[in-house]
Amino acid sequence: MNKKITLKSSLKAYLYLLPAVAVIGVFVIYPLIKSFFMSFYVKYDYFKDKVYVYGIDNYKTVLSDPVFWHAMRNTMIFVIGVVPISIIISILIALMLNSKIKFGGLFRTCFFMPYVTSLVAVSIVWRWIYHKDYGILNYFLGIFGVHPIAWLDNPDVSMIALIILSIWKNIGYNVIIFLAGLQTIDKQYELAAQIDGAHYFKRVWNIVIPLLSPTTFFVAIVSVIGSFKIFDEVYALFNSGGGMAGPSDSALTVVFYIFRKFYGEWNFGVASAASFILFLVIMVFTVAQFCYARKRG
Amino acid sequence: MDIRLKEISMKFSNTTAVDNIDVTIKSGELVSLLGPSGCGKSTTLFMIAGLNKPTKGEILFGDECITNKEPEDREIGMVFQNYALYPHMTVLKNIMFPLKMKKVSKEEARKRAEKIAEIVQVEKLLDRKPKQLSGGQQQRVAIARALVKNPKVLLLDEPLSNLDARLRIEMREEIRQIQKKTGVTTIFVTHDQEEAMSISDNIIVMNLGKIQQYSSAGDLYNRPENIFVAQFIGNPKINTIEIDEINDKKIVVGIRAEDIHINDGTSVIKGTVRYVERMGRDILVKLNCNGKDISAYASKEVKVDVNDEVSISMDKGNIHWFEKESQKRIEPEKDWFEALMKSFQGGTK
Repeated sequence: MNKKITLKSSLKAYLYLLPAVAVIGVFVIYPLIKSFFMSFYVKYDYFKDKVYVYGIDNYKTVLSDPVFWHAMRNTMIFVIGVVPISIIISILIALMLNSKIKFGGLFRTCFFMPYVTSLVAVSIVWRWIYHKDYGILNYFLGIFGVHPIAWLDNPDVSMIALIILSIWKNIGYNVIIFLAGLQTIDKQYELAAQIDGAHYFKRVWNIVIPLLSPTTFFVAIVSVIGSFKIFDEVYALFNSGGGMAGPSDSALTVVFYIFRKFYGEWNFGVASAASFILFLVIMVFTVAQFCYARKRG
Repeated sequence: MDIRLKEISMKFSNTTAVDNIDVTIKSGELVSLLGPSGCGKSTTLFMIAGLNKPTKGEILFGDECITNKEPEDREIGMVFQNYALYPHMTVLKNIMFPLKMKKVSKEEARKRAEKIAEIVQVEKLLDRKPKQLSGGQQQRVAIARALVKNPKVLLLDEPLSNLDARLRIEMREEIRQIQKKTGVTTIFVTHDQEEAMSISDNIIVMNLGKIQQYSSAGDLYNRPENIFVAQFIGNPKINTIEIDEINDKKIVVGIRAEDIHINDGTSVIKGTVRYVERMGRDILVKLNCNGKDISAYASKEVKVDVNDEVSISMDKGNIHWFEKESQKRIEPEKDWFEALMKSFQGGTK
């Protein structure tokens, strides 16, 4: 192997990288930069790609739009509702799958299914589960004497319906990651804890969960980012087709807001500004998580 | 509290790791489990710990049968081969952990942890995390964690194998002292005979899942009960010579290198020097006598060189006799020594 970096070897390397770089450049980096600039377009001709006035008017519009704040509030509720619960449930399932059980592989597959199944198909099933009169969820709640709930039509519960669906969908991926994390923990620590007199739950709480924290951290970051970007679940579950996000916009999320500004109202500047604000919010949360993790060591 | 292993066997799918062993370890003693790797010594230790369940037999602590008790209820302390200190806890928290599990109050746990830390001399490291410690320090912490709850039994699974040679000798002396100080019944697993000999009250030698001999270090060396023990104990490996048919028995003779003397003027056996190894105090001489390879120690004054012809003599009283078929030690009959001499001289047959 020639280890010296020469112009020739670099060029050769770049040549190999070119296809990937081109794809990423065209479909990721260019739109990113373009939308950032678009967020500052005040007066422009979309068809001629001519901009007459730049400014921060779009940001002003977004930040003073009560609908945007409604969307932001919903998104926050969604993140807070989905991330902790899905992490907790995922860890519990991963712990169970990691212990010696029969048909472990089968269960693993079952839990992973939601993640690999088409969201649209899944949503159709969930629309039935949530159905007010024939839904299986209301049937079960009925056993405990709960009156039928209009999950998809009542603005007060639509967010809950969305959160339940998302938790269920996230679990598959999280369980796989947690299983991998559990397998990296040296069995020796659990044996030592057993000798030290720790019964199962104490071992899990005092040894396994702390040693799993790098994985938990990773899952938390990915889930928070993913949850802030929630869109398709809303779209598919409430069959919104560009109109309302759930009954009377009760499940409106930030990305849905952006989507509507873009495709519904053709308001590209405002959509871009909202995108950029969301980007900043996600960044703040992610940085905060990293800082917290560093402090905890 | 005595530890009694009653006809214990352990089978893994199709191999028998421990084969029907029956042994009592006396209260307050330090007993080593010694054997080559794969002999079942660690499995035996893990069964005493409860981390493995025997497929047959019973384990008793004192009069109490604990065969089916979970390890967390057995009140044992254990030091693992790579210490298994909890990486996310400080040294103090590591040592306090067994007490926390026993719901000892925080202040008392702290006091006891600090006291035991002093005994193993890690009292200055209490705020550190395990990865900030050297191997020797980690080991001391592991011992402290094992001892802090005053266990009935202390189990040590090759605790010295990850330390460098000098530290190993230091630590084994310390383990011995700590054990004497606390008086806890201790089982020490090792594959290093020197380690076992230097530290233990008694040694259990294992091979192929069976106990080969259970005795003091002295007896192990001076009165090996079978060929395996004779060959396993002692460095260099004991010389073994097969003698054909004495009184219809096939005999194997074991003579240690230090019991063979070169050129001391009393012998008629001749041998040729094949190799000379200078070891400071002595010289290890490898010889060939009538087709048999033998190692012998000579004092450093003796002048020998490769291909020299030398005379050899041996201490009659220190020769070990074994029956080949059963591999067991037997007492020699009168004419056996002559038969041995003859086999060395060859030609005279």
